[in-house]
Amino acid sequence: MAQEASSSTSSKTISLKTGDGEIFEIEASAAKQMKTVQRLIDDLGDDITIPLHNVFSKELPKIIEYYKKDITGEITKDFEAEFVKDLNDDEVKVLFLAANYLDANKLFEFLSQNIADRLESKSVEYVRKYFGVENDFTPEEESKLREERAWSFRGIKEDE
Amino acid sequence: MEKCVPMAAGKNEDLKYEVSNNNNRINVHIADDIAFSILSKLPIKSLKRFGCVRKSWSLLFENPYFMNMLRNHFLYNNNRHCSDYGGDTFLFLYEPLRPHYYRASFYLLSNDKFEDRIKLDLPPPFDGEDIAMYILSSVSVNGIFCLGKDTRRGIVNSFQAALWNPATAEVMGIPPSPDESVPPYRDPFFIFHGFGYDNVRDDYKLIRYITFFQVVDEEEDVPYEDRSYDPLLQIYSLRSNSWRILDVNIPDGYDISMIDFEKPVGVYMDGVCHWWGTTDFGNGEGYLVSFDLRNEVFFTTPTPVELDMDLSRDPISIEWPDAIDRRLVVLNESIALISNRFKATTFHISILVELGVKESWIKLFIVGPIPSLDWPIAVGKKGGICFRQTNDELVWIDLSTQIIDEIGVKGERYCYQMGIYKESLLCIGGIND
Repeated sequence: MAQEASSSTSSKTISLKTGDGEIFEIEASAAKQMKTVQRLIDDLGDDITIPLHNVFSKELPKIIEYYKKDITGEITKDFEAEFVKDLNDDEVKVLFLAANYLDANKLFEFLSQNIADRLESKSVEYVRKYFGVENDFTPEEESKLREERAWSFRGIKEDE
Repeated sequence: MEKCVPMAAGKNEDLKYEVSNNNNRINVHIADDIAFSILSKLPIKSLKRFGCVRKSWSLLFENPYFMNMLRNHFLYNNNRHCSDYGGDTFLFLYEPLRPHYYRASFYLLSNDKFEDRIKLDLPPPFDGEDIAMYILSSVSVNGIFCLGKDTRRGIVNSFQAALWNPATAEVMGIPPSPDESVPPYRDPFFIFHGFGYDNVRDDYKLIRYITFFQVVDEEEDVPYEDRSYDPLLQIYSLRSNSWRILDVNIPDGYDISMIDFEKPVGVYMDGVCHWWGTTDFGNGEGYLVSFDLRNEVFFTTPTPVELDMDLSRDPISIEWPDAIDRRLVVLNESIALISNRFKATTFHISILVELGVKESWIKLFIVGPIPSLDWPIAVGKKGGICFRQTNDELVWIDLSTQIIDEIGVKGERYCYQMGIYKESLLCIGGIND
């Protein structure tokens, strides 16, 4: 529902509108950690609802939750583990891409590491699908490379 | 069918893509440069395997932008492990008492500076003046050191060792090996030794590899056919407080006795002792020899020719144009080699990703050219490398910035050992069965 936030007496919260039309509030200090949001605030002013075309209502609350903890200095290893515990690989990917779009560096780096940890023992084919990339090797090239790097496949039970 | 949606690359650009509906977002393509943020955090073995995903990924190790990210992550990880682990840098060196007369000294450096040192008294008989002693495998395992000393009496070289816990001042001498007290027809020439921990048996072990020279002795009455000059491999176990001879079984027929172990003191990591030896001093070709203390098996890892290709651009020495100096160290929980062309001051650091696999040496860092540097000593707490300079001073080199930081101490060229020491109250005598 589109709604202009009224000129708020407190300049401390910013209104963000997702690509699917929902509005979320975030503290200005948390918004500062997301450089894309900060740039939009600088351009449009902080009393206007900031439109985020490429972030959606499924992930924005999670991102806001992360930065709420960040501004109070409460991000711990335990919090981060809990944060991603119930997310599947695809959900983390969506969050990762949103963090990239928002230029939210700390979250981006944390999620990069989490994805790396998840992908470590995955199969080559799984990783291709995950990154949405095409296999541009010819069958001969690929089998030659696999042979050269056979040692890196040893002891790995490539799981899906 | 996958819906591939183009996405503008780079965090700092506005994204210009359309997404038709939420459900297809999970098939979105991740552009290489943001993919690199994920890839650079993978273990190198996985990265090598994922080279098969697509062509650009098979060339990651030749991509300078990616390698920079990989190096940064490697160092960041190292610093994190070091802060989690704690401990201090220990420094063992020979200090000159007077010209040509040295005394072994042992220090703990609390913040990597000599001025903040604590001197620890070495236990007897390692505290004597002018003796040749060393710390086996340059390591402290669970707060325990193994000190070694060689003494020559005439032609006989005798070895003495003890386990030492500096925090409790407990010292336990290791009994001499009966097999080394040899019949007069052979003179032991010892090749290398190592110390470490077998976590499967909760046991501390020493390993020594000895070859023999024939000694001519007319009074010797042992018939020639009954003599043995075979190399001897001995293991000492703290639990049984005894030595045992092992069959030397080297895979692939490598002859360890043909390897020249310039530095008999190797390194230790995670249950395995390692040494570096050359087969050809002229060109630095050699092997990493590793011994797993848990299953008591040897294996070797040669270095590939490609490892030295970059070195060919460094200045060379006229006398030994192909010679390469190497130093074996442990860097961020990996076995690493620091190599330089003989007399050159550019040092190339490669890590071994998979023991036994020649193709898994990865070139990671280059230090220099820094004209003041002479010789690398060890890796420090924060992942910096300690070097000796040509003016005898010891310095730290930060691997990411290449900044030199003086430690504040000088000493002899080959007589340093350094590592990380974390105090423990482990009772050595309590491990004896």
